[in-house]
Amino acid sequence: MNATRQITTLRTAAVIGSTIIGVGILSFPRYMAATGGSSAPFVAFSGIVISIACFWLLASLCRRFPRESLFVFSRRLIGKPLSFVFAVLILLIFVLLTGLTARQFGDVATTVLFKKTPIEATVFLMLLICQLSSRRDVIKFTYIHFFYLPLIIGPILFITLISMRNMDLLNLQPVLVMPSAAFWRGAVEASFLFQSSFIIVLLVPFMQKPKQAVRAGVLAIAVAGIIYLLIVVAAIGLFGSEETKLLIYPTLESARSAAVGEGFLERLDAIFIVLWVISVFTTLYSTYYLAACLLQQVFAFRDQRISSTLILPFTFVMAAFPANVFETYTWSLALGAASMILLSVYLFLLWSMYLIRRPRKRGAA
Amino acid sequence: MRPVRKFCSAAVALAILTLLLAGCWDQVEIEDRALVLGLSIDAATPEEMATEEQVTHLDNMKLPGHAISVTAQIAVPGRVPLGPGSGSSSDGAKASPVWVVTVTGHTLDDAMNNLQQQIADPRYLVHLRVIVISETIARGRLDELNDYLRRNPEIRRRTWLLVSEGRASRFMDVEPPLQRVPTLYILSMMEKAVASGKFPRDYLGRFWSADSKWGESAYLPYVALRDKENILIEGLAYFSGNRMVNTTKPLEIGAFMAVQGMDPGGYSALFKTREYGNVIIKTNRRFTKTTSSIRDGKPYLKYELYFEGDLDEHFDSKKPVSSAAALHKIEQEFNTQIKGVVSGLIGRTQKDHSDIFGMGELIRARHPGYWKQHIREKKDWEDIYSGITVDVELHMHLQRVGLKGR
Repeated sequence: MNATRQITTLRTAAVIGSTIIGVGILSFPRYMAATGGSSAPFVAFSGIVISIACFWLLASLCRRFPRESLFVFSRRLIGKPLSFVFAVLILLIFVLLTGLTARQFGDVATTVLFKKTPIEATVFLMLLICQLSSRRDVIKFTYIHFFYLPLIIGPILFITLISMRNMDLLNLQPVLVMPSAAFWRGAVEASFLFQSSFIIVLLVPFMQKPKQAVRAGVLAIAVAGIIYLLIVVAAIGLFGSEETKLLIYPTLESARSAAVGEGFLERLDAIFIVLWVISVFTTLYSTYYLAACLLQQVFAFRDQRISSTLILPFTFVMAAFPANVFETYTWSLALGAASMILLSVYLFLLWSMYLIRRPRKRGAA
Repeated sequence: MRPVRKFCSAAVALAILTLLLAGCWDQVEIEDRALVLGLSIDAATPEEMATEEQVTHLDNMKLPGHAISVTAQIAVPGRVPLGPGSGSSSDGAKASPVWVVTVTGHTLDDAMNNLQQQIADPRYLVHLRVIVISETIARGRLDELNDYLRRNPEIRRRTWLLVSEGRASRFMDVEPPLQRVPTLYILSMMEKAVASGKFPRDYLGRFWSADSKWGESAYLPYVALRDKENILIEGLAYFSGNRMVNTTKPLEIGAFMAVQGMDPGGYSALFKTREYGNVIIKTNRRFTKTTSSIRDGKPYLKYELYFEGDLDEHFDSKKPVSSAAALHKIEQEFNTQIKGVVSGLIGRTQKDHSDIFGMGELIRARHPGYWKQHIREKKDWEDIYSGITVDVELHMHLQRVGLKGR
C-alpha cells in the first residue's frame, strides 16, 4: 500500500503548478489586454477564480473515490459505454492539446531562437523527450515536475520583478471595470490555461492523503495564478494596454526590455526563453502523459508505455497541421472552449449521478 | 550475455553523445557576422534613387513615392577596441573600426535587403544601439519604420531612436575623440544625459508605448551636429498622429522633465531678479503632484512642481545673497519666471495637438467615464488636448549657495 501511495500533497501541487505554467505565458498578456484594456489583471484574476471553481468541482469528486482514477469510477457512475465515449473524447482533446502546444513552442523557438532549424526538428525533439519520459511511472513523473518547478518559478519571478521596476502605474488604472461580454470572454480564455490541472485525476490514486487533493490543486492554481497575474501586470505596466495588444509575445518583450543595473545585465530574454523551454516541457509532459494513460485505459493496455509510443505520430501530425501562427492561436482557443464544454458536461453528469446514487451506496457500505 | 549487452548499449549511447561535441549545426562565427551598430535614415533624393538595386522588387512596380537612404555602421571584427590603451599605435588609428555603407530603398526592410546584397557576411541587428532619422523622415510617415523594427526580433527596445537636424547620415561619419566607434559615442552620450538628468529615458520601447497610447503623444531626442564632430541634444522632437510636428529648446527638456517629475534635475535656469541681479539656479531634485478633474464637461489639470535647488551663480548686483529672506525672494522670482517657460511649453504642445506629458493617460486612468464617452481613437484626445485648461504652480526650495558666504 505504501509503495504506491507516495505522492505528498506538496508534490501534487508542484505537478499541477508546473503543468499550468507553460507555453501560454508568452502571449497571455495580449489576450488579457485585448479584452480588458488597462484592467487586464482584473480579467486574469477572474479567470483564475473561474478555474479554481472548476478545479474544485473536479477534485472534490475525485477525492470521494481515493482508490481509483476518474476513468475507473466513471464506469461505475455513468456506465461503461458513456464513460468510454468520454474517455475517447478527452483523449482526443489531450492529443490535440499536446500537438498544438508543441506547435506553439516550435513557432516561438523558430522566430526568436533557432532561425535556421526547421520547426519539425524542434517540435519532434520536444515530443520525443515527452514520449521517452512518459514511459516512467507516475511517481517518477511527479519527481520530474517537482525537480523543475523551482527552476521555472524562481527565474520567472526574478525577471518579471526586474521588468516591473520600470513600469508606469498609470497604465494599470482604472483597475476595475464593469464586466462586459468581452470581459467574460477574456476571463474564460484565461481559465483555458488552467485546464491542464486535469492532471489531478491521475495523481489522486497515488496520493498519500487523497483528501488533500483539492487543497493541493488550489495551492498550485493560486501560485501559478499569481505568476500569470504578475506577468500581465508587468507587461501592461511596462507597455500600456494599447502597445501590449500589438505585440505577439508581450512577456518576451518585457523580458527583453528588462535590464539590471543600467546595461550591466541586458537581454534577459535569452535566460527567459531557456526557462520557458523547461516550462513548456513540463506542460507538454503532463498533457502527453495524460493522453498516454487515457489511451491505455481505452484499450486496456497493461501500462502506458506502449500507448505513449502510439500517440507520438498523432501529436506530431497535429503539430504540423496549422498553416500559420494565427491558425495555431485560433485553434488553441477553439480547443480550449471545446474542452471546457466537454469537461463541464462530463463533470455535470458524474456529479449528478454521484448525488443520485450516493444514498444507496451508503446503505451498502 | 548480460555484460555484453550492457557494453553494447553503452557504446551506442557514447557514439550518439559524441555527435553533441560538434556544437551547434548552424553556428555563425563572430568574424562572419556583419554586426550593424548604428543606422541612419534619410529621405533619398531622386538621383540617389536612380541607383537603387532591384532586390526586393522590380522597377515596374508602383510603390509609395517617398524613398529612403540608409547608412549603416558595421563593426569590423578585430578592429573594435575592447578597452583603452590600444589606440596608441599609428596604424591602429588609421584603420577604422567600422565600415560605413550607404544604400537606398523604398522602406527600411527594402534598404536592408539591398544592403545584404552588397556585403558578404549576413547582417545582424542584435547589436544595433542607435538609429538616427532625419527630420524629413520624422515629419513624414514613421509607421513602416516602426512596423519593421517592431517585427524584427533582433531589435532591442532599449535602442535609441534620434531625430537629427539636417542629414542623419552625417552622424555615422563623425569621429569623436572620446570613443573610437561613433555610434558607441552617441550611445554613451545619451546614457550619460539620462544619468545626469539632461534627458528622459526615452528608448525606442518608450517611444512605441507612447505612440500606441491614446492619451499620450510620443517624443524623441532631437540632436544636431556642431563643428562636424560635436553632437548636441537640441531638444525634444514631438509627434502628433505618428508625425513629428515641432521641436523644443534644450531648456524646455528641463521643463518637460519637471512636469513629469523626473529625477535627477539636470538643468540650470538663468534669470533676472528685481533686487538681486542675475542668478543661475541649478535644479537637483524634482517632484510633481498632479490633480485632475472634469470641470464643465472639460478635463482640467493642475501640476504642482516642487524643486530642490542650489544657487549656482549670482552677478550684476550690489546686494549680497546672504540671508534666508534673500533666498526666499529668489525662489519666488524663479517660481513666477520659470512658470512662464513651463506653461509656454504646454501651450505650444497644445497648439500642435501633441500631448507629450501624457495628460490624456491621467484622464483615462482617473476619469474613465469621461474617457469612454469622448474618446474613440487617439486623434480624439489630441483634439481635445488643445482646448483643456492646465494650471502650473512651481515651488522652488533653495538649500545651498556653494562655498561663497556673501
